[in-house]
Amino acid sequence: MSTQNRTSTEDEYDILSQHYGGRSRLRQTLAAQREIFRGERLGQIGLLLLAIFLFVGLFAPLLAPYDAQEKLRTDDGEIKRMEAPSTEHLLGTTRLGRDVLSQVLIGTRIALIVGSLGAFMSVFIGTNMGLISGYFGGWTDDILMRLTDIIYGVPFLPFVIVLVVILGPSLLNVILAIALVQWRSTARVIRSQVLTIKERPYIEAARAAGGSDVRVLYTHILPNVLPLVFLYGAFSVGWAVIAEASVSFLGFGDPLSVSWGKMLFTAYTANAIRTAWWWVIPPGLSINLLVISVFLIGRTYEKVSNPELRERE
Amino acid sequence: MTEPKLRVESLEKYFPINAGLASKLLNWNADQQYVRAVDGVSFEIEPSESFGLAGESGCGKTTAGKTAIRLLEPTGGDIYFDGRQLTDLSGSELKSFRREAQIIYQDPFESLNPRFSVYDWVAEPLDIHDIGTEEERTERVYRTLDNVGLEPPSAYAGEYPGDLSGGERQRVAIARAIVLNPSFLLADEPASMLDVSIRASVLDLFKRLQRELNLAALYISHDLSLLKYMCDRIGIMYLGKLVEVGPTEEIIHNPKHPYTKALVASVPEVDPDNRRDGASIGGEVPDPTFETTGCRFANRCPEVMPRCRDGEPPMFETSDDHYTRCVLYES
Amino acid sequence: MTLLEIETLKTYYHTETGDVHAVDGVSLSLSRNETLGLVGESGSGKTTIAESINRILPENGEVVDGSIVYDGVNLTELSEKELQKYRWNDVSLIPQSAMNAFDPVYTIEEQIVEVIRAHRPDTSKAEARERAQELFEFVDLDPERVTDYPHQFSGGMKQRAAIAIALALDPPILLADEPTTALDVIIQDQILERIKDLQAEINSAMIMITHDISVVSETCDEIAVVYGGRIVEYTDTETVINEPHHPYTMGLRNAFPSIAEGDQELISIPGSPPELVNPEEGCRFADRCPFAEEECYEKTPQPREVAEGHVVECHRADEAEELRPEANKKEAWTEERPKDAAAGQEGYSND
Repeated sequence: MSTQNRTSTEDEYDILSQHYGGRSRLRQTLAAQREIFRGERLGQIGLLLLAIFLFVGLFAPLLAPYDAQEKLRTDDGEIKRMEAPSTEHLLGTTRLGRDVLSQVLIGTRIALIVGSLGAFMSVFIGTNMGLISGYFGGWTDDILMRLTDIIYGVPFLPFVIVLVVILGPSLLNVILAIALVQWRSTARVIRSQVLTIKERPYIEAARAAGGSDVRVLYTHILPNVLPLVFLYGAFSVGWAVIAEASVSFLGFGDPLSVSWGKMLFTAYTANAIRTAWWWVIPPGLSINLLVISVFLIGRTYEKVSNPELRERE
Repeated sequence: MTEPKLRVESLEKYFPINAGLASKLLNWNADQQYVRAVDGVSFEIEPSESFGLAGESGCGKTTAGKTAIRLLEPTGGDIYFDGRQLTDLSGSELKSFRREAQIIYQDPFESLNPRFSVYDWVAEPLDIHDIGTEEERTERVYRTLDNVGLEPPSAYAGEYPGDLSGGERQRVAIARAIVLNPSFLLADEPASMLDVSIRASVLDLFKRLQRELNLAALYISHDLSLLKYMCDRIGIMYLGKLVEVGPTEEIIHNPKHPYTKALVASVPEVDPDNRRDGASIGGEVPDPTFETTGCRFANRCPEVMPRCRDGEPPMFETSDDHYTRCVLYES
Repeated sequence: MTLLEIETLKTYYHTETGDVHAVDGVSLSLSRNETLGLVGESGSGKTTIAESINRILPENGEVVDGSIVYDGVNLTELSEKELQKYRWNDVSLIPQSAMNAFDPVYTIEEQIVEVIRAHRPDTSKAEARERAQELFEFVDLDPERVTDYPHQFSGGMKQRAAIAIALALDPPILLADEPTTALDVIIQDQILERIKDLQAEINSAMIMITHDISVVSETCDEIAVVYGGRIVEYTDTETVINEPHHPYTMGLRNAFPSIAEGDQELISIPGSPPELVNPEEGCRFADRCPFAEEECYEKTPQPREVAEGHVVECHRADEAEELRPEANKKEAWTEERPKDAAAGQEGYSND
């Protein structure tokens, strides 16, 4: 706060109200994020990695040297099958003569879409379930939490596969299937957090002022569980990426798109897993790095919600 | 005669024990057990009067206060606010009542939302009740901050609770409570978490605001000397029931109920020349599930008689406006 | 006879923003059978003094200077292992929250027996058990309940049990940290009564730490008023209450309501307690003191004896007789100060 603000005059009320009104909430949130990552080396590495993936995903068509789906031929018309890395094809080619580097770059898009949409949807469902269940309690809580228990009993991958088979193998269906299972862990954790927060006097104070349930839930409780939401959001990105890769690797993915999992699947069906390292390692490593980056970010958030982790450094 | 600001009659608040679905299913035929936190409490508070509720922890004083303004749903009994039945209000009627009655909590470190700036926290009630334009709200928030001694308001508006001291936080809580110009204030142990040296300034602030805004107030505290300083009348609670109600002077200097006597006698004093005798009762407040057909205090009472166990004694008027729930005073 | 002699004790907490001078040059002495009250607000350093004696400071706390001499031995120079012999045997602690004093998975008896046998290995189990029952009787608890688990006890009973376990080895010194703050008045009264009786029966001296001046004035022989890591006034109870020489003590006396007095005017001390991170030279109370003069801001007052056994840290201690009536007037504490002083200090701190 600046020193001039100390004198209170009527005109100043206006300026200040704009400053301290709702608009500053976003600024405060951003500042809080910066604060969280300050001095967190691993979290910063995670952010950097993620930024690289985002950049690649955004500009993949420009960065990719070839069309990822094009069967490349040599000058004499022969398909460039299983070529090892060379200056022309930095990561070599596939059995059908496609450029591996281009596929990895384009695959980044799918991974990011699945990761972000899948995580967003599952966290959205899970957060609301947890908020409503924890806040209202009673029968609402019983019903929602038993539903969560049922979802917990569902084996993740088989469920996704079955759902994709039923709904048809499209990218959106894969994302939907992931979200429909993944929300369970977020719901549980958010609920237990809501249970402690709703007992705080400031929540009762919000009700005492006449605040509606919706207001109490979304303007008073939600901001206080937000670090957990971010944490589970970050983890969900990782889980969604892995899930999509698994589904595609097993051959149930979207046949039209190029994803890292599907690259591994084609390499596997081409019997090239052991021979064409350049075809296997890049997509595998990419999955790894992306998942690691979001987990590193998640871990940083976890320190905020679980201060004990800070001591262990 | 004007209507009392708040009148509660045979107010009851029971909390069920073990209410989970599983235990309900497993024990479907068992009797539901209850903690009878408030078990038939009646009192009234006149406009601009200060009424105090005292008692040991677990006596139900806080529950009684919160139930009286329907922050907790009463199990039974009636509540009248300005003569209007409050018990079955809902929706918009309940919301407009919320404008009139406000609450201050014990712990200023827990009663402000850490994610709200001082400005947002104090302005929120105006937002909820949709009062005034943006400029009017701002003006009102600043005036209120000024009024509770947070000066200059501009220095506080953008602060978050984490940056403030206990006394400042309690003032922010008070600002939020009075920004709607309420007519009734419930203060639950308003000073017990504050440092001794600043307590007085917060208590005096309550007094001044009550005077200026014509507020009726219900102070809840375990600290009789605080209630003596703040209140016109005091009620003493024991195990969910009022055992004595009367003017402050009477309760402190002429207590009638053996429990009140013990309570008053056990307050330590800063007077090395004058040794008090101390409380004459032993034991502790029984478990809240405790049930008896007679006087609740009989087991600890130094003046217990056989008939104390025969039934719950009614309130007897021992002097003008001074009532005691003890058979000693049956005329 | 002096039992414990603390001299210019300094205990700091090392934090990111600098050293917190929680105890900054405190001298005290405790005689056999004496009860000394340390009175102060939260953050004044009163608890840190006790923690320094027993060396149970938080990890970032350290005794940086001064001595704590018990029975001819300077406790601050002992190694952790050597000090262990003194804890409980010679100096034992009655904690504020008895809930934390017991391990929930063992009975009270087992815990008392363990304490006794850990320090006196040649005691037989049967003897230790007998001692546990004796201790229970001592603190007015039913000896048959000694085999109960902590959760079977109410708050008041746990506090009694905590006193019992602190007395297990007949320590010459008892440290009681807010022993009754968490309790209701009637229980508090019972326990304070018991503590007073115990003193007559056993030969322990006690340091009672509390924010409640009424509790110390009823139980203690001497009072040390702690403010900002220093002892600002130190003498017998009667003098502290009736003839305070430090303005803070004068203010404290009027700061909270009394049940006995008639129409009382409460006076609050403006401002808030001082920051103890690398404090500057000068009296720490000067900002809040109605009688502060230039000298008070420039030079830290040193302890001086205004009468025999009456130590005050105030430049104007000699004028106490004249200042006292002034301090009882509300205007003195509010006049000529900016209106915002009552609440305004910390709002500016991050400017």
